[in-house]
Amino acid sequence: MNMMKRGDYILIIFLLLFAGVLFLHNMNNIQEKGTMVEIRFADEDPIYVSIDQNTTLDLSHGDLVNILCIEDEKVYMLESNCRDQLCVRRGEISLEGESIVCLPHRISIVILGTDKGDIDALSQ
Amino acid sequence: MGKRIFSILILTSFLLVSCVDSHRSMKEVVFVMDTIVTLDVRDHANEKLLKKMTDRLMEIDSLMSFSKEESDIYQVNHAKGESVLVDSSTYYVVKKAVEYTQMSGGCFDPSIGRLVALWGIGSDDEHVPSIKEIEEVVETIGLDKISLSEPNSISLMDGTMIDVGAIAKGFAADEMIRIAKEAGVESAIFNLGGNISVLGSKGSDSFRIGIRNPFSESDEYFGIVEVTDTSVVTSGNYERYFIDESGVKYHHILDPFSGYPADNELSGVTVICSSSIKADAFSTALYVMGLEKGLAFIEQMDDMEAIFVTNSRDVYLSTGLQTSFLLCDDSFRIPE
Repeated sequence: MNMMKRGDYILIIFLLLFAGVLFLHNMNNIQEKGTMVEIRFADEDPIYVSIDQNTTLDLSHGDLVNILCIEDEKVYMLESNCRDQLCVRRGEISLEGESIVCLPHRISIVILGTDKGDIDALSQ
Repeated sequence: MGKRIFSILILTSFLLVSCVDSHRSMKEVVFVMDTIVTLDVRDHANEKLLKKMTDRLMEIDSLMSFSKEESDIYQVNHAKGESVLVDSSTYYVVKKAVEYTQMSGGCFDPSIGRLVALWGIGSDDEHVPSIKEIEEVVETIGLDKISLSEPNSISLMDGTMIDVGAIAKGFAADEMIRIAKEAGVESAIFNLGGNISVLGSKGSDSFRIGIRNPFSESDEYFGIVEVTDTSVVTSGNYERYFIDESGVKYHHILDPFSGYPADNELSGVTVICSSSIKADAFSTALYVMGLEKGLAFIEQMDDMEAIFVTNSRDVYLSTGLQTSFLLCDDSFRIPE
C-alpha cells in the first residue's frame, strides 16, 4: 500500500479550499437580495432602493415626469405626465414580483426580495 | 490506495463545485417588443445565457416589428405586391399565423395590419375611423391576400398589410424556452408583458400563475392555474383601449370581419398550451369567437385549455382545467 506523499496532502487541501471558495461564491449568487425596489429607466443599469426607507424619488428625464413614493413598505407612482396614466392608476405595490410599469416613459419598478407573493407570475 | 483517495477527493471537489454552479439563478428585466420582459432562470444561469436570450429578443423585435422600417414585416408590407425574402424566423411566424387563421376560421388573422394602423389603439393617433374607412380596410383582410413560397419568401396583395404583433411575443417566449433547454436549464419562468412561459417546475411544486382580474385597474388576479412546462397567455379588453367623447370604450382586439373591436360578452380569455405562439394566437381567436363558439372550439383541441371570463364575472373553464384552476376571488363565479 503506497502512502500518500506530503505533496498529495497539500494538493488535496488546496483543492478543497478552492472548492470551498467557489461554493461560497456561488452561494452568494443564489441568495436573494433583501427586500429592495429595483428601478429601471429604459436600457440603463437599474438602481436599487430599500423598501423600508420612506422616500420620494424624482425619476423625471427631460420633459418626462415621474415621481415615485416609497412609504411604509409600499411603493406607488405619485405623479406622471405620461399619456395613459396606467402607472399612477396602478396604485400601491408591496409584494415580491409586483411591478409598476410606465411604458410610455420606459420606466419599470419591480419589488425584489424574500416576501413571497402567492403567485409566480401574472398572466394578463 | 493513496492515489485512489486522491482521485476520489478531486472528483468530489469538482462535483461540489459544478453542482452548486448548476443551481445558480439569475433574473433579468428588459424593455423589448414594446413591453417589459422578465427572464427568471432558476438553475444553470450565467451572464452569457441571459445575454443570448436578450439578444434573441432584440433580434425578433427588429425582424417582426410593424413600425420599424428595417424589419422584415415592414419590408413585406411596403413591397407593393412584390415578393420579399425574409429571415427564416419571420417566415416561420407568418406561416404559423396562416395556419392558425385557417384553424380559427379567420377569427385570428395576421392580415389585419391596415385595420390595426387605422384604429391606432395605444398610439398617439387612436381614434374611431369612419364606416367608409373601415369597410375599405376590411376588404384588404384575408388569407387569399398572403402568399408564401419556400424558402422564406412572402408577398402580399398590394394594399394588404400583415401584423404579427399578436403572436411575436408568443414566438419569443418559445425561443426563450428553447435557448434555456439547450443550456441545460431545468426550471425557468419567462414573463413577456403578461405572456407567461414556464420551463419545468419549482422543485416539487408547480408554478402558480395568476389570471388577471379584467375589472381591476391593478394587477389583481381572480384565479390561479398551477402549471409545469407550458405557456399561459391572456387577451383582454382591459389591456389597451381608449374611450371616446361619448364614453364608449374601444379596445385593441379587433374583429377581422366587422373591422371593430370584438364586441361580445367576454372581457378576457386565457389559453394554456405548451406552444406559446399558439396560445397567443388562440387567446385572440377565442376572444373574437365569443363564449359559446370559443368553448365549443377549445373542447375539440387536445393540446389547449382555456379560461373565459364574461362581463358579468362568470368564469367558464375547458374540461381539462376543472381540477387545476383555483378561483380565489368570490366576486367571480363558475356557473354550474
